[in-house]
Formats: sequence, C-alpha cells, structure tokens
Amino acid sequence: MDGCAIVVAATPRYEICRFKSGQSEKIRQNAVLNNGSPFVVRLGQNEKGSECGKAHVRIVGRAKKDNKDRYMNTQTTTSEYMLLFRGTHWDKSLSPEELQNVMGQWAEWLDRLNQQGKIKSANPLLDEGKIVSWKKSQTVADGPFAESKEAIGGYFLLQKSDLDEALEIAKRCPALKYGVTVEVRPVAEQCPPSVRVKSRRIAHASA
Amino acid sequence: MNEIQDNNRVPVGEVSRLTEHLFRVEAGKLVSVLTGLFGIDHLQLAEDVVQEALVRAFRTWPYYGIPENPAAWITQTAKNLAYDLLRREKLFREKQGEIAISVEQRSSNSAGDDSPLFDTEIKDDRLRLIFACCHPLIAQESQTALALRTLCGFSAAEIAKAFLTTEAAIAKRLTRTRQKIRELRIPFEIPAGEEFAVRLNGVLQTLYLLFNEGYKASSGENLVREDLCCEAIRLATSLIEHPMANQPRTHALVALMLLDAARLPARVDAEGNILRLKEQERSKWSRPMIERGIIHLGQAAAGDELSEYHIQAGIAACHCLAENYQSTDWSRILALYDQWTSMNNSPVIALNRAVAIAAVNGPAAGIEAIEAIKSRGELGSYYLLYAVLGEFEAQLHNFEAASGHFRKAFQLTEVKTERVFLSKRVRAFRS
Repeated sequence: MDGCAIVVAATPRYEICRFKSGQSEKIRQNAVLNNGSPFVVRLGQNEKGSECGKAHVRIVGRAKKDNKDRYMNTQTTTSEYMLLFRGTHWDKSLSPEELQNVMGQWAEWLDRLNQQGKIKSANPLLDEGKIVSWKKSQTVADGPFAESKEAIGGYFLLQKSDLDEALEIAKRCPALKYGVTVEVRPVAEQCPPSVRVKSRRIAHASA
Repeated sequence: MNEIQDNNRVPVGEVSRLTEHLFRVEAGKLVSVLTGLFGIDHLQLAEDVVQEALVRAFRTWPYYGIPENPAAWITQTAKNLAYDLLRREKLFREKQGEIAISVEQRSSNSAGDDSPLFDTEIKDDRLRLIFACCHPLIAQESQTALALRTLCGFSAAEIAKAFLTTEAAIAKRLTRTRQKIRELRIPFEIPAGEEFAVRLNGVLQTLYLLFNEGYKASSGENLVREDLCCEAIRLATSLIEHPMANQPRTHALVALMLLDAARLPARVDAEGNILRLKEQERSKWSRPMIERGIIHLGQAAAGDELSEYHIQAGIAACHCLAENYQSTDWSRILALYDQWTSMNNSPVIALNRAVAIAAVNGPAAGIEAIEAIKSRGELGSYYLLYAVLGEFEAQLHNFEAASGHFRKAFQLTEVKTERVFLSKRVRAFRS
C-alpha cells in the first residue's frame, strides 16, 4: 500500500485517499483544489517516523458544512492551541519533596499528551530576558521577568485539538493549585484579512 | 507543515520514577557542601542556592527528560550557581574576598567534581553541619527544626506540620537560630579530642528526639511522622559512615530506630485506629528493617559501652524477634527495664517497666508498680498511666474500675486516634 490519507473534518468525518511517498505537497494542494475550502492538511508519520509510504494524512479543520456558509464566513477553525503558563516564582517556596512530586506529575501530564500526539512543541522559558520597545528610539530593557509574577514560565503548543479539549488539558496542569495560571489561546490558521479577501473573490467568481 | 512528532525528545515519563526523596536527600547533602563553601554565617544563602538548583531541575526535566545522573546534575547546577554568586559578590564586595579564596582553593584541590575526594568532602561537611545544628548553645527545639531544614531539606511548612505549629512560627524560629549561629560564632567543624565524645552525645540525643517526634502517636499526620522517623534513621546512619562517629552507641541508636520503625506499618488498622502489640499483624512488620536493626545491635555490642540506646534497642529486639505475642520473652524485657531504671529515673520508663512487670508477675503486681509511680507525685495527668491501669484492672475483671481509668485517660488526651481507641475501651467495660 502506498499510503492513505484520512481527512478529518471539524465534525468528525474521515476521508481516505492514497498517495505516494514524497507527495505530501501535492496532497495538500489537491485537498484545497478538490474542496475549494481552507483546509489545513497535515501528514502523519508511519511506524518508522518518516513521512512516506504508509503514512496517514489527516486534514483537519474544515470549517463549514456546506459551501455557501463556508465562503461567507470569515472565521477559520483552528486545531492548534497555545497553553501559556504564567507565574515564575510560585515554585521557589516549595520544599524539595514537593518540587519532586509536582515535577513527576508535570512530566506524566506532558508525557501522556505527547503519546496522544497532542503536543506539537513544548518548552520551558528562562527567567532572564530583555524587552525591546520604542520610546524615542529603539530601547532594550531587562525583562520584567525577574520581578513579575505574571511572566510566562513555559508553553505547550497543542495540535489536533479544539477549545474544549485544550481547556480540559489546561485544567489538569499540576501547578494550578500552587498559583500558576494557564492562558489558552487558539492559534490563527490564516491571517483573517486574507481569508476575507479570498472568500470575497470566490463568492464573486461563483456569482 | 507535517505532523511528525519531534523524535529527538527524550521520553519524560521516567521523571516520575526518580528515586524516592531524591530532591530531599540531595538538598541535605548540598546545603552541607555549600555551607562549607560559603561559611556557616551564610547558611541561608546555601539553602537558597540549593533551592534554585532544584527549581531549575523541576522546570526543565519534565520537558527534556531526566539527565543520566540526576544527583550529579543537581550538584553541578548548585555549584555553578554558587560560583556565579561568589564571583558577583567578589566584584561588588571586596570584603568577601576570603570566601572567594576558599572557593578557589577548594576547586583547585579537587580536580573534578566526580573525584572520590568529593564524597568524603560531603561526609565531612555533613558531619560539620550536624555538629553545628546540634550545638549545645542552641535550644533543643531549635536544633531539631534546623536539622530538618538544613540536613533533611524540609520546608518550614512541613516542619510546622510535624510539630503541630504554624509555618510562621517555624520560619521565625529558623531565622532566629541562624542569627544565633552568627552571633555566637558557632563553628562549622568536627570537634576534636575529648570534646568529640561529649558533642556526639548531644547529636545522638537530638536525632533520638527527632525520631521520637515521629514515632510518638501524640501529634501530627501519619505520613509526616513516618518521614521524621526515616530522616532520623538516615542521619544516624550517615553518622556511622563517618569513622569518627562510628561508635557502639551510634550503632545502638540506629538499631533502636530501625527496630521500632519496623513495626510502624502494623501500628494502626485500615481506619487509622491504634492497635495494641498483641493485636498487631506481625507479618506487616518490615523484615528488612528488623534484619538491619539486628546487625547494628550486634555492632553496638563491640566494646564495653552500655548506653540507654543499647537497652532500648534490646527491648525492641525482644518484641521484633518474638513469633507472636504469647512467646514474647517478657522476663528478658523486664531485666532490661530494671537495668534502664537504674540508669535513668524517668517515671515514663518506670511506667513502661510496670507493663513488663504485669506480663511477668501478673496484673496485680503491675498495678502495685504504678501506684509506686503515682506516689512519687509524677505522671498524675499522663493519660497513658490511666490507660495502662485500665488494662490491668480489666485483666483482673474489675470492669468498673477499668472503665473509670479509661474515661480519665480519655479526658487527658487530645489526639483523635487515641481518643477513639480509649472510648472503645470505655464502652467495652461499661456493662
């Protein structure tokens, strides 16, 4: 088998198409051409972890049920969510024992999400940093991180998700009860104005 | 954009499989080592640096997986932080020059941090810190609190939980103690010559109290209490690792702690109710701990020294080695209590001896022994005295008297599990 693509619509629907190794770009273009809608195509991996042969393709984020709605609506649905962890000082007062315990919980939490394929990337951020801004000219100042309780200590970028799921994941953050807050933000799939322009053009063409 | 996962990421689930108490144990070691670097005047600084190193581990390991040697990672991070700090200190405050010099000496002395020298360095520093925390000029309760903070990596909140007080009170006590160490110029050193033996007794006494704080049922949460016992055993065992502190009485103390702690898992039932020795399921006793305890008891017998720890370890061994309650060697236990009361006039020991007397010579003899303690005018408001009297009267079928004693004991204790136990005993003899 050369491979199959599974097309996942926003309302769970699967479409399978075959493709050959190295044709990812073509699949992506075809998906848009065949359906004429702002799909996002993502190629999965085969057992060996490379993008070829038996890979699954999931096309996520078809926005609308029928064509008319699809083109008139300027909003896109996203499948990516950013979780931002705010608070960089909460852990300084934990005891070594508590640190180890919460660390274990955090690792399990992240590990499970990784196994489920929900994590696109995840990183902790260092406290130190700079802020570039404009006063009379460009200025560089030390970040507010050293003092700020609101500074971001790390992030997860979730994929293949929706808002409800992202919120459920955020609620399981093991540091919440120690004062960390989690900000959940959908990642914009396309620049909204460009979507608007595109929709108008298509609407015009079909009129 | 494809959704191939980042395969370079180390599996992180292993973080939760780290050695139990790793952070706590490493914190204790590192505070000792860094106090060696900074000087005991800067105890707080050492604690802060260690905390920062652990926080860095905490923030990064879940994302990138645990390093091959977690303990070495933490040590290296703490040392780097310490050096950075000292370098900065040196720039801004020339007066701190001496510290920086001692750092340079140390870092040039030991070629690498993995050298075997480093291990003995840790052991020496830990012993120095134990001696500093248990200095006779520091009040006993402050000694145990400071030892828990610096040597065992407990937070003020955890210490407060163990001692049934507030976090603020403990934090204040710790600050005052650190200040006192500075003011009194308490040295960071292993005492030399004859002073060593005297000071070692003080250290053993503090560890014994730490253990008892965990062992006694009169306060705190179960979990915290067991932690205290474990930490006391760990510190006492670390003493043995040091050739100077490796004395028969140190072994005796370790033996006594292990043999008592071995029975902790059987001391309460599933609902947390207290079980008496005869009701305990002996299969729940920790065999490995008993075995270790017996080995230390054997090592304690080297030389002609006989401390109170020896006797207590001997009594604990009699209980641990009996197959069941009936086959307990009570006459041997009584002989040990006789010896103990001749060394220590404490009424609490006398009360425990009365239990042994009753087991050997019957409950009436036990009651007689307790009356003798009461007539000394001591323990009049000690709930256990009445609980024991109640048991003896019950054995003599004087149920009304027994019920009265249990009621009195009930009024005198505030611990919930004790009260549940006693009210059951009251009810048993009411009819």
